[in-house]
Amino acid sequence: MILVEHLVKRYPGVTAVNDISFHVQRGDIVGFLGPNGAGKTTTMRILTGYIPATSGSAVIAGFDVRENSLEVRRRIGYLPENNPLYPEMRVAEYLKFRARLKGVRGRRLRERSNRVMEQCGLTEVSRKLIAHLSKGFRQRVGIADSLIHDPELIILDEPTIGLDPNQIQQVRHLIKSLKKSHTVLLSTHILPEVEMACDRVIILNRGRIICADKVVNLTRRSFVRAEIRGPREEIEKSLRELPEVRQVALSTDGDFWECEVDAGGADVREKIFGLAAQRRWTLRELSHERLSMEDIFIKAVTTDAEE
Amino acid sequence: MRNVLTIMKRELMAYFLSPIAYIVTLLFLIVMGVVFSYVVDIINAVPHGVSIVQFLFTMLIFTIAFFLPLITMRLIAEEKGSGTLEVLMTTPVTDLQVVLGKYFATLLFYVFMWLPTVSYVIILHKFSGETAPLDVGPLWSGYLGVFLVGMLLVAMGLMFSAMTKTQVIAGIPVFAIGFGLFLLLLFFEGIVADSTVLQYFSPVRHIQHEFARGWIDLRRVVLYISATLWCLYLTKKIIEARKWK
Repeated sequence: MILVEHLVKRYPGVTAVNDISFHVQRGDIVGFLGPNGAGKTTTMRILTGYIPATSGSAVIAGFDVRENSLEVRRRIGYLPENNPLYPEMRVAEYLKFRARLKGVRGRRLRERSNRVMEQCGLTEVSRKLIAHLSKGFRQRVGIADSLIHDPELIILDEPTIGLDPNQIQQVRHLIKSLKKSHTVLLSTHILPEVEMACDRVIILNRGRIICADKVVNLTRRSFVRAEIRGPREEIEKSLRELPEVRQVALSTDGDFWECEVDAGGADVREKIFGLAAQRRWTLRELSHERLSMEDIFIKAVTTDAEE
Repeated sequence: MRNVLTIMKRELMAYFLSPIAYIVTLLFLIVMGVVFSYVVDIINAVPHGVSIVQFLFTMLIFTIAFFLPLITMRLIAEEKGSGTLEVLMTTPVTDLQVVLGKYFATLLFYVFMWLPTVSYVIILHKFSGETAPLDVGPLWSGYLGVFLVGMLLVAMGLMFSAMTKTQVIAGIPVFAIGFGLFLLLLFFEGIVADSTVLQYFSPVRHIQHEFARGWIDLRRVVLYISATLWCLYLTKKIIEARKWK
């Protein structure tokens, strides 16, 4: 659905997007993550044809975003960051105006606008002025607009920013319901959101992709945590000698050594317990923990910064 | 074409939904009303040297030059400021369609703004009777002149509105150029020995001495139409300029 190759966007003095390549398959929900200024919005703007790339190519549904911009725009629904709307228009009026611009006319226009208003919970406010709507409703109007022409690809730039937890959950459900029939690319700062809604995640930092994988692969990664009292070298050496163990990190808070054992997802708690019993170490805590999206994100960004 | 109509409809709606359009039209009509009552006074006094129609149209175009920037300044600047331009430009519409849609809507609103002044002429015609018969020809050509000058000013307003995010900044150059062109002749006629070149570019002179006297000079018509097209072309290029960065 999306094929991006060696995309670069330079502004005078800044490289906003630095040689990124990725692809998104039809029907996938892909999360775009990254700290502020990582290049997420720039990449999305290039994909929607609002600004051109300095070099590289982006193809959406078989059309090059630069050569066939109008064809691409017919196939995407886009919700920009901070969701700009015309405050003087009424909700239904606005959606109909947008639908006409996107080539939806006649009976289909009425059908589609009723359908998206229902889908986004806007039916009750359809006659209200956009200026009088709460932030949550405005956000829904923006999302409804991106859906109105039933596009193949939906690009949402921070769709849940500024919403309360309840509204965030509603938006998340809405995005999930789009799966199968649409491909979704969304950027966000809220990491649990990615875990819950997305199939794949692309982490950007300073204009480059530093991590791109399926969410299940990323969160399957887990580690075992143990707090042990005993001689440091001995603990480290014997933990490393366990067959599944890839990496051991030790830190201390006084008496005890806090050990983070990366065993490639395997549960080595029993083995560590066995070791402790055999060597007569004191064991205070032993747990198997999953990496959260937050851990993955922070780890990826800080490793990138160190490099 | 359909997209142009869709954008035009929305723009017109935005005019009639915002208070600014009503305030501008109201003030404009108040000023013109005062001018008209003055005209009536002139007619009642002893026969005057200046043609009433010439005076009326000169005042009309002056007042328009004053109020027009207020309705053109928001056109694109507002959308740039609020970010709606991004939403608009990522739908399958071309830059030219956006420019034309906004232009025609404003032109229509411009005509709507001075259309009530036609009633003055009708009133004059009805009540002046035999004493000061009005010639209908110069009225038609006078309004044509007002339309042509407005066509250019609206295009200029649109162009400057595309250059900035701030509405006031978009309004000031239109105001300055509008008045500059009008005052050009008044200021320089005495200084420059041969003022024929200036006369080519002075809308006041075109209206006062030509259109309001029933004289349609094709050179002026061509000037206004070509300058308008040029401004619209530049507007399209300015909107496109986001892609050159």
